[in-house]
Amino acid sequence: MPGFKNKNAIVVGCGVLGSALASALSRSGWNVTAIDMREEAFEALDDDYDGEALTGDGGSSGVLEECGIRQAGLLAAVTDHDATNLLVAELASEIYNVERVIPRIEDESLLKILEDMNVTPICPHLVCMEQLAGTIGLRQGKGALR
Amino acid sequence: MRVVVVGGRSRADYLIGALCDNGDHVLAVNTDKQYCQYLASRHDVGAVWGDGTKLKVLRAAGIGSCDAVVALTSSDADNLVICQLAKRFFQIPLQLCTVVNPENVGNFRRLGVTAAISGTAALARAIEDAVASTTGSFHLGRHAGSRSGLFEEEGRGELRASAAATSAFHRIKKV
Repeated sequence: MPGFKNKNAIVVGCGVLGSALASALSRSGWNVTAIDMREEAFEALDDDYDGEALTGDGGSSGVLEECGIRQAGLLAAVTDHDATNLLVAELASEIYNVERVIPRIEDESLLKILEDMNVTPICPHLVCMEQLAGTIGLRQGKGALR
Repeated sequence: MRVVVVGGRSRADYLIGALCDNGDHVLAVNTDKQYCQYLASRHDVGAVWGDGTKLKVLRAAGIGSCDAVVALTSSDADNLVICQLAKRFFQIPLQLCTVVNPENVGNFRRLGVTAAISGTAALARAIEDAVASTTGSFHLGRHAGSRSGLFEEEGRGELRASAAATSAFHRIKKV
């Protein structure tokens, strides 16, 4: 992965997206720690997943420190809850200065809150709209990622 | 002063009562419809039924004229969203919330929230004080973020975060 000197990654939320991401990062040579409140969530990780799995609240700075956030180069906050992803992203960016912070955020008003921070949010419905617009040949009125 | 209180159950009830007694104008936002009806009947307040973590609900509730927002939900993350939406979109100058995780007292202040009050941290401190006064020094857990000063003065005996929130609110008001 070009441009990443620090290959320690933390993935908060090990659902469908989180487990896929953690598995892919691990396969690409990253040192990954996946966090989820539910132990059974880690069953979704690939068989060849070579990272850590920690049961805990990724929204807690204490738990994030346990996962080595101070040494992390990448943090993805991909739980099912926008508010949790926002909190984790802000902790990672503003308090722990993680270089790449990527939260999944559906609510566009929360995207605005993250505007001034070193955070790269991914808004699923906007991403889907881009794909759909491309597939169907739609003109998007307000533009892609506002 | 105009205050919007988002979420909470008995804490909201107590806080709204105290604010009304103090002559403040209060607006409540709560996801529990029956609780909204209860608050509206018990106190002289407008109560809006809706999710205060959604911008459109805050907009519809008309919080723009408020001087302060107090977020009392049981989720620290939701309280952060409420405070930050209020600050970013409505320029509400004072944002206060309760937090479950004592570390968020310091964390939320660094993220721009005026004040975050932890009942847990106050409780731990009170237990320490109570035990220390009988058996000598005793340290309970971590005190990350407990140096906010907001409840160091609350001290022994007064453990309820709602009371801490009320007095913290009044102290900040005077500033």
